[in-house]
Amino acid sequence: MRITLNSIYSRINTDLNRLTESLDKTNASISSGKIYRLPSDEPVAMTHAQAIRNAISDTDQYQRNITYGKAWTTATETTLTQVQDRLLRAKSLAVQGINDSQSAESRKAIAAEIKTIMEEVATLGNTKLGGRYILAGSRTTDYPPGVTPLMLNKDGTVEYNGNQDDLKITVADGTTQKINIDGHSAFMATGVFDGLKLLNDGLNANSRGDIEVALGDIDTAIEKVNSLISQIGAQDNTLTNKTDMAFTLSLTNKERLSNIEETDMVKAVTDLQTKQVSYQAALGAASKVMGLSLADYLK
Amino acid sequence: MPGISSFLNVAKVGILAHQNNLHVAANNVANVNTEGYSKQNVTLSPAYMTPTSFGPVGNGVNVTDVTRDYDRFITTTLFDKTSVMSGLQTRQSGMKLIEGVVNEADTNGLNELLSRFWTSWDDVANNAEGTAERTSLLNNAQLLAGGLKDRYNQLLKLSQDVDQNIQASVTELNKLTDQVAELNVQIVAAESGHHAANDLRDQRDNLIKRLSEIADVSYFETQRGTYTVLIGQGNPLVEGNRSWHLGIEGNGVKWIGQNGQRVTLSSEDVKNGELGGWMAIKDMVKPPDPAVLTGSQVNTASGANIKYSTRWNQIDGVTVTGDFSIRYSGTDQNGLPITGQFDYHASPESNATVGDFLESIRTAFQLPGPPPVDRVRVDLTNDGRIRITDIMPGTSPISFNIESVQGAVYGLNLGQFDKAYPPNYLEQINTLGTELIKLVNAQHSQGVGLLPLKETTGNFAALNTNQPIGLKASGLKFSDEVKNGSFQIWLYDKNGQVIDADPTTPEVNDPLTIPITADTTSMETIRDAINNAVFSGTTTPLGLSARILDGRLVIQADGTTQVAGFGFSNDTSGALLALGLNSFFTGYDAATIDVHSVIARDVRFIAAAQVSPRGTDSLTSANMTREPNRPLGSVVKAGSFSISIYDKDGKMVDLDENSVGVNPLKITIDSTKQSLNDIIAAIDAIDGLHAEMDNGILRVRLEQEQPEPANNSQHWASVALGDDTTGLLAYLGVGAGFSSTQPMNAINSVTDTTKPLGTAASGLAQFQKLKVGSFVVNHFDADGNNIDSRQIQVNPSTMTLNDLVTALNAIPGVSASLSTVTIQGQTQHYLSLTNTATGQTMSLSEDTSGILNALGLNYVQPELAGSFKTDRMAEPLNNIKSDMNAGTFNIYLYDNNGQFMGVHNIEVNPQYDSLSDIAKRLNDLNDVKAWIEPDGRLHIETEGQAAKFVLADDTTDAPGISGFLAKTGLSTPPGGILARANNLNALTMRDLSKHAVVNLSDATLNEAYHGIVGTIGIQSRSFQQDYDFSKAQVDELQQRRDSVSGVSLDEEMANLIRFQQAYTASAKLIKMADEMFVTILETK
Repeated sequence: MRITLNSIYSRINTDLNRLTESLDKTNASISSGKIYRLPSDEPVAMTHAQAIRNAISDTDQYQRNITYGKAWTTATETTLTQVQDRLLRAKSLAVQGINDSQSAESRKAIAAEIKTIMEEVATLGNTKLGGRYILAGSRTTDYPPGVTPLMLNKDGTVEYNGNQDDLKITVADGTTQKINIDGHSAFMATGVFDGLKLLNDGLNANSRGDIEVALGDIDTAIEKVNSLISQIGAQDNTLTNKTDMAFTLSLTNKERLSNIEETDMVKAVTDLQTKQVSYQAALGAASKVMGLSLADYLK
Repeated sequence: MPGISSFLNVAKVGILAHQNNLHVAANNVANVNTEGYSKQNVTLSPAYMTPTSFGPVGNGVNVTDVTRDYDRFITTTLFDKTSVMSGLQTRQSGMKLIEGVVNEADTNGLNELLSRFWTSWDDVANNAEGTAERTSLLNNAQLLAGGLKDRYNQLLKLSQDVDQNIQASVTELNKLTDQVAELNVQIVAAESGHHAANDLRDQRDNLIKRLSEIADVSYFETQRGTYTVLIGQGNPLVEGNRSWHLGIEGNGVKWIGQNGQRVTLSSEDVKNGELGGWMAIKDMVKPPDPAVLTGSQVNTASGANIKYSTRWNQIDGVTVTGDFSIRYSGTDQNGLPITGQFDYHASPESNATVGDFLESIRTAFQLPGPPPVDRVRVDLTNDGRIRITDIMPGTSPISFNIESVQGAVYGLNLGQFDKAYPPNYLEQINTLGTELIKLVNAQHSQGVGLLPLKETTGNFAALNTNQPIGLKASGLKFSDEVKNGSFQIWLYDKNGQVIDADPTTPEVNDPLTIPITADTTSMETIRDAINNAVFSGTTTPLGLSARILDGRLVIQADGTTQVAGFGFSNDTSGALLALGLNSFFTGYDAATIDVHSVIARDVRFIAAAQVSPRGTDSLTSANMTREPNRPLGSVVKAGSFSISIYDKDGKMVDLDENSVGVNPLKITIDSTKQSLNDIIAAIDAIDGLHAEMDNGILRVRLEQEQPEPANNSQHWASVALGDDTTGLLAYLGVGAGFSSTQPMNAINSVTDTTKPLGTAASGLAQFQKLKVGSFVVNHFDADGNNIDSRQIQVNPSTMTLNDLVTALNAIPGVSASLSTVTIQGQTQHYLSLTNTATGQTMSLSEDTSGILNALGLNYVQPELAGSFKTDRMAEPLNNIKSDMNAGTFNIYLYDNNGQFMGVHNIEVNPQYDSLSDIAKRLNDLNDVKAWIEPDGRLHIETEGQAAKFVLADDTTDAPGISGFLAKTGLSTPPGGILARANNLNALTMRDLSKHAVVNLSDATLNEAYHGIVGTIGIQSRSFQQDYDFSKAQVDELQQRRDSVSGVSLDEEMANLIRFQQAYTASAKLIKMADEMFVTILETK
């Protein structure tokens, strides 16, 4: 076959072009750290990478949500534990008050402390986190002046102004998790104030029978608050588990992403070297071929 | 005879021939870099010989021709492949531009924007009241809308840039065709001497090559040596000396004929070359032609695409079993409604075809005559889609939608007509935008922000406000999202407190419900429904007014009532989406998407919340009921009860020394002053008797230390309480154990007097506690002597209450009867025993069967205990007065969608009913569970179908007396409340990111975008690979062409030397001839 001058030069051009292009690609993949610059470089990998990036973004958000939610559960747990402390104190006062040796006067004195406990519990019921009442259902702000979620009236009755809504956060794909305990569940349905009020009234009226019944009530309330504490504790644990899961998932995804889109440096550098060598060889060969002409040998 | 002169002649022609050879070789060398140049050769032939006696003798050489080394087959193939290659190269570079628009290699692409938009909702959900979170969401939403718009505009810009490239290609092609025609002329002229015009031909081939690079033209050589060049489906570009041009008109490339006729060249006609490449790229990014509506559905009949003449029952996947009708609607060139219906009649034997339907559409669009004027062309595309083309464009683009297919046909889907099909990349980005808007707005429109709305204006203008919003004829963009259903408007006062639109049901708050029927409710219907709405049961308007402004629905609180704002909820109809009310995004696709200006101005209007629904799924009463088994309406009145004591001999002990005979001790109660503690103290004060409240339960027992018995008496052995007129004993749950004046009333009831008492069927609550045994009925005379004792045998597995009554009545001095009461359809029977023996006292004793306790009676024994727990023992007994009227309350049940399921009426008869009875009554209802918690609270929750319940309509209250619900502290949310921390809409919104969208082939929005990027990447990559392959092919062909036609310098050099030597030799011949002449001439 005749090889013409054009053939030789266009082949040299084509081949050198191809080599430089491939060199450039390898070089770019090393300098950018990614195997692609455009979707067409690795379309399938890019599609996967996008999905993984979404997943990472989701899990990062879930971790943020959980951090937020844990602040609530922790604050709720602390508050309820404090309520329980107050109830335990009330219980020991009740036991003291039930004693036959107590006089009407000494019982009145105990009643005064019970009154204080009621006020303290009411204050606990109005605990705020970041400016939001945490034990008021979804009515966390926006109360008229002088109104709070839990209001202790003069006569010892309480009024709950919040609602019974759950507050939920997203903790995983399509999964929400409750992070609050509403005031109705915490203070009304547990009978905290029923027991304390009966105790207070019983002590004031020097009615041993009532103190005895109130003691039972307070025991029930302690039990109920206890179960709420374990409930919120369980919620807190679930959040901890979910955050661990999200963290692991995020890590796995980041690893997958790096496997998919990041340049394998060792391989890339080796490739670059190989390509460099072949480029040099091609240049050498080209210069040799280009130097050859019959004209040089004719005198 | 050859001679010297002929020899000289041979030398001369030799020199000339080699000179020509050298010249041609030199020309070859000179043209070594000329594109398209074919190596030329001189054809030599021996000159005509001279016949001699010894045969013919040659006369040297003749130059007969200069030919070019040329292989037609290789050249033609090369041009073909060049065309393909250049098409691919163009596509490749075009795709690189498209790729650049959706490049996600960088982490700040649209994917990231989508992701951030979704996750922002989580931040808002975490702190729904937070302005910072809302602002960040707004920011991300604006970035997303901007990002989508930007992608759309970049592709659109690309589409416009491509136009310029197409224009350039067309201009060059036109110039080239002119040149080819010109060369045709020159070649014919130059070749009149029957010698090929090599250079002109090379030049012409070169033009053809360039033409091939521009478009996949086909060409052939005529006998006269001219080229005929064709494009597309045989449209001539060059024929002889004539050339035709292409032009760009409207959106298309047209071939312009001799007489000015136009033929549209599609990308199907021009597949390759730069023009074909750019046209293909254009197809990928061009916006749809608004004048052409193409169906989204490919309809085939047995694999082949449907045709005009295809009968309905021949279409694949379509079963026709009888009559059916297709309803359609749309808007015409002036935006006026078009509606129509196509009816298919199955019998007699129907020959109706798809074509009949197309005709029906065409007729519907006609301008009424006479004669009617067609305004659209309706046909089928090659792949079987219905296509409607606007042939008389007016002020607004036409629209069309198949609204319903009803009747005996299954599987018929003619598609939608709102997009370009098949969708190109621009359209895919657009669809992404459309679906994002639909998804987000549909959810957002049903939510509420931190503030009620004062006024809201729909995003979408209807062209025809009197047309149903569910029909395309209305001109609403999302009309096909409207279904039969309803949406609700809640009303609020200036403080954000809900205002009940239906004061006739005060227990719950009611919204204004706007019912929507997709094919009848128009925008005007909705406007009127809102304007005419009144507070139910009154004629007072709600204070909401609606109007239509430029085709958009505007709703506002008009300030005529205390209604200052409103909020939407529970849209099951899609009407809010279609009208664009309370939306998050405005616009309808990627080109038009934007964040609603109301939200952009005030982030408080971001609807993160949902109006709280009515009712609750679970409720525990706020107030404790100390004793859930005690009748609710227990009352202790002033009066007395008696204590009766018996000695070891069974004789009654006289406790009342002031009266004649042996009498029980009567304890008188002043209920306004005395407390329970006082009464207990009074009993306890009796020597030998101990009474106490043990954890709220009354206990009475005989003391160990007994006082010295009086004359004729033994030590005390047992005690009983009875003769109660105050109700205190019933309140404490102590059954009567004796009777002198007052009847002994059982506390517990039996529902069926004919069923054995030891079975559940009897309705006796404590039936399981009964044993086989007996009890005794005693009578005492006025001196306390037991004068009569009768034993009654009890076999709980056979004895019914009726049997017991009979047995008791058989005893002299005893009258047993049943008092009967019916509550909630349940008849309850209470046993009542009356002592009929005058002057005698009756007592019950020695119960070994447990029957007396089970019925709530008692008997004489050393120790008594109440069964009902009590508190507030220090307060006057009057306070026990737990007044409550007999009455009822209702429990309303709602399902998951807030739809009313039913109402149950619960009777409360406070005289008999305890909280436990009410709990049981509620628990017996379907879908409701109720129980009493250990601390005496009623807990109610829904189960099964029901999701929420509302307790209301309590008639047990009376002025100054709170009813059952208020007393127990049972209250259910009345609905409509705006709670600022409510994040339900935000959570749902966040979930939409995982929502599979039907119009995106069941992918989520993110996935759909990944799909677009992936498709573009793969498309681009495949063009690149095709190009690489094609380039290799072309290179190979080029080399083969060069090996035939190309100039090899070495070869030419060698030839030059060869020709030079031949030339030298020929010159030598002259010298030789000269010498020969000299030799001859010098011969002397």
